[in-house]
Amino acid sequence: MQAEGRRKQALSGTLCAFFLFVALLLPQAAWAVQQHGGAEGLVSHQIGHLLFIFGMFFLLYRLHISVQSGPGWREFKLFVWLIICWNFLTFYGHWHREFIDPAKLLTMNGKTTGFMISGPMDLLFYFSRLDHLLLVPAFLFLLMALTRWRKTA
Amino acid sequence: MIVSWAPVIGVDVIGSFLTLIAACVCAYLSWDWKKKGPDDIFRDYIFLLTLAFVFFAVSRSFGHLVKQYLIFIDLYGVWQRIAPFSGAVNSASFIVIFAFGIYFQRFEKVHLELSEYKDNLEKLVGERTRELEQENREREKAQHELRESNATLENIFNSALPMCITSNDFDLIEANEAYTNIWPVSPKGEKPMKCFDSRPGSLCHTTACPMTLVLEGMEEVTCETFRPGRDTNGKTYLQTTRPFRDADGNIVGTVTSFQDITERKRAIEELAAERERLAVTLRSIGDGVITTNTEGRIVMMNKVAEQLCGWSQQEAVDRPLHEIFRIVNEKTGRPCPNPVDLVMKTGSIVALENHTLLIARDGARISIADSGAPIRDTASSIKGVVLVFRDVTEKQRIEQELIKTQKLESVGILAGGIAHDFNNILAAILGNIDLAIHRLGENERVAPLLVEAEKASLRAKGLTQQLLTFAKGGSPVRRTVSIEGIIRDSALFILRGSGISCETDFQEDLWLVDIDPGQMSQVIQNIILNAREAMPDGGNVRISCRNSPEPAGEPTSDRDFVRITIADNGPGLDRAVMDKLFDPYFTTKNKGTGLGLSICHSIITQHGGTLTASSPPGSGAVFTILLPASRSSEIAHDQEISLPDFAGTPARILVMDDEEMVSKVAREMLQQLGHEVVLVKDGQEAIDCYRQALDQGKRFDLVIMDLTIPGGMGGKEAVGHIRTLDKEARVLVASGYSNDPVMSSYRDYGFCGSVIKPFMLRELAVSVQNALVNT
Repeated sequence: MQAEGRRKQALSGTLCAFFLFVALLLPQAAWAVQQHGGAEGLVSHQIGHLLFIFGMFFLLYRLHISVQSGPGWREFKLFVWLIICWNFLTFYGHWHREFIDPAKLLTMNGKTTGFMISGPMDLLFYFSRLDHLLLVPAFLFLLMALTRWRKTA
Repeated sequence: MIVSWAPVIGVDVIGSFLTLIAACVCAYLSWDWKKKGPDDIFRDYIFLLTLAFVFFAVSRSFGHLVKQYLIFIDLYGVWQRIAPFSGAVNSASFIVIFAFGIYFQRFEKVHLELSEYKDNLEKLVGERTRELEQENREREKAQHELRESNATLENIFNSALPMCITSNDFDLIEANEAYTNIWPVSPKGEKPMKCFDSRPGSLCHTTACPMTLVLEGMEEVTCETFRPGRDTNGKTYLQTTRPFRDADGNIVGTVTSFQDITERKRAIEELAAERERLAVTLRSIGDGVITTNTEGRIVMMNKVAEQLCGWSQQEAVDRPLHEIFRIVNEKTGRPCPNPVDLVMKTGSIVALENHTLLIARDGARISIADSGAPIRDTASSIKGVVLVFRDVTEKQRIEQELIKTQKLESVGILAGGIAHDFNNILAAILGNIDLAIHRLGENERVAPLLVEAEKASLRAKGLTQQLLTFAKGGSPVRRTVSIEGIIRDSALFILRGSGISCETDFQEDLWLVDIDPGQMSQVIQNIILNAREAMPDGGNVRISCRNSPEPAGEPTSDRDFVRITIADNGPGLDRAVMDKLFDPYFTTKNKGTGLGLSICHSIITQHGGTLTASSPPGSGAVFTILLPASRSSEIAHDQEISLPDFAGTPARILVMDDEEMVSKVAREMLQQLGHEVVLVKDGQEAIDCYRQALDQGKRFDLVIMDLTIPGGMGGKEAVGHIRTLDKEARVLVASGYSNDPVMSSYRDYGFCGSVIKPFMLRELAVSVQNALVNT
């Protein structure tokens, strides 16, 4: 039991070091898509998304190898999966926003009124603006999971 | 392709709202779930993770709503200034969620370990709980069993005999209901009552107190306790006291039980009384009673049996019957079969064979009658044998006496008939001889012959008198006299010249007796004559005469007796002779008639007395006569009778006799005396003749009538008719039955005199003269 635990800890540490290494290898791109400006940069936010995704994957992995099962855990896993999807979607949305042609954003009186989709990436970008379609169901699954746990407590 | 941006704005606003609401609900649910398991670290983790997501959702949704609102009101510039703060919070929430995500392992591990610990703990707790529950169940079961046991013991204690437990200090610490129903005890909770206060008794405060004895080491003490009753006679209890020990075996008191033995004691007393009653009854029985067991060993014998056998009950008990009850056949002398064996063999009542002799311890031989019967229990099984026997020696003697008497009576009747007929013949012979002598004169040559014939006839007369005396059942001609003179005269007469001395011993104030002196003289002479003949070489005769107020052998008599004992020192009498001594015609002498002692026996019996003979070993014969003493104290004197004058006044005499030869000789005699005689044959003819004579004026001066006329009216009946015809009629009775009561008491029957046939001329003359002279 203790040997298996140490092996899993080593694997987790290796994954964390890998993602940090990848992030450090792309400093230019990170700076290039920075939108938050000032003290808050896009890179740090995207790193947040990546950590978020990493954390959720790790959580799914632990849930997968752990003995957790029964009522609520399936809904919780769907919640995690949807959160991961949401993270990927918004990660792409943040990243693509930095490279999108401003002309594709149709404005009127300084307000965006339309978007010109010229390819799949634009379509995916447009969809990333509808991220609540993933986030709301994700929270509904969390709510269901908690409801199940609460009932079985 | 251009798509509207409005869906983006709508989904963003609505989604933010929904996300905000869902996050808030999730926060509540996680908090509520955590609250239900505060010790569950995994719930803490989910709660914190949910809070992180809520923080992320709230911050993002709130930021997006603010953003849309500011854009909507054309303040996009404001949003651009605050957007970094919103984004920073949003990024920070990512980090927090990341942290929670990677720390899931730690929480999970801790959770698993805690769960494992918890499970182990719960398992241990469960096992311990189960052990405790098992212990509890066992304890409860034990307690239940203890309660059941206590209840059972209490039920037994209360439903048993009266019982109490007493401490070493004599405190009644426990008593059951049965005890409290009889004796008082202290109410529960109060100071215990002392046992000697609860049931005071004579043993209290003494060294014999059962509780004291048990405390001193005795294992069990029993005694009787009496409880006086209020309305009844009280009850008796058998008190049993034993030590009362604690769990270590130390004596901490005594336990006493009481068994009601009132009924048992009463039954025992009744049984003892019944046994005593039976024993008294048994010992009071006039017959000998012996009981044996089935093996023939003696169990009990009563007083009579002790006397007959010569063994006391104590000596005889458990001895074989044949040692105590020795019986032999009287004739063969062989031992009789054991009656116990016979009863056990047949199972029914068995009588002893006849002529059984019981040989007593001292060798005495006793004739007994006996019967044996089985003793059966309620199941009809034989448990022993009871023998009942009695001494029949006296009974046998009486029976033999009765047989002897009956034999004498039979012979007597025969002898009486012969004597009567013979008397008639003798009357004719003797009368004619007497007349012949008177008419011939003494100088005639035939006179001596006639005298010899007369002597022979007189001897024949004496023999017939003896026969009649032996045969008659009537009364002797009694007179009140002293027996002393008769005995002396008879003894001297018989023993004169015999060489036998005579010793007499007469009591001075000897009572008088009512006897026929002639008959009694005959008895004394016969007995002394036997003694004389038994002692031809001389000897001694001892005669004693005593007053005997309580005669032996006459238990029912209320009269006084005179006892006459005549003993000799001759060879005595053996048993065979004794048995037949008084039988008629039994004699041991060559010349004897065998009538002597039987006539003596008959005479004494007619006088109301007894004649017995005995012969003690080593001495001679002893005859004992018991005669009833007279109630009169004056001696009767003989009437002087003057000799008749043969040449007296002639009289007219009617003679009645069925025997022609008798009537003829009577006529000749009377005519010889100068009288006129008319003969008739029976009473009726005599009556008719007398009536005719009266009618003709030729009255008879005297009537002589035979007492009995076979087939006709005798004198006894005719005299009444004649005296009816003539009150002055004089009637003589003539009969050969000299012992007939009419002859001795003729006046009671209407006669004026009597003459006994065969009569001689002188006797007839005296009787006729007396009848004619005396009125």
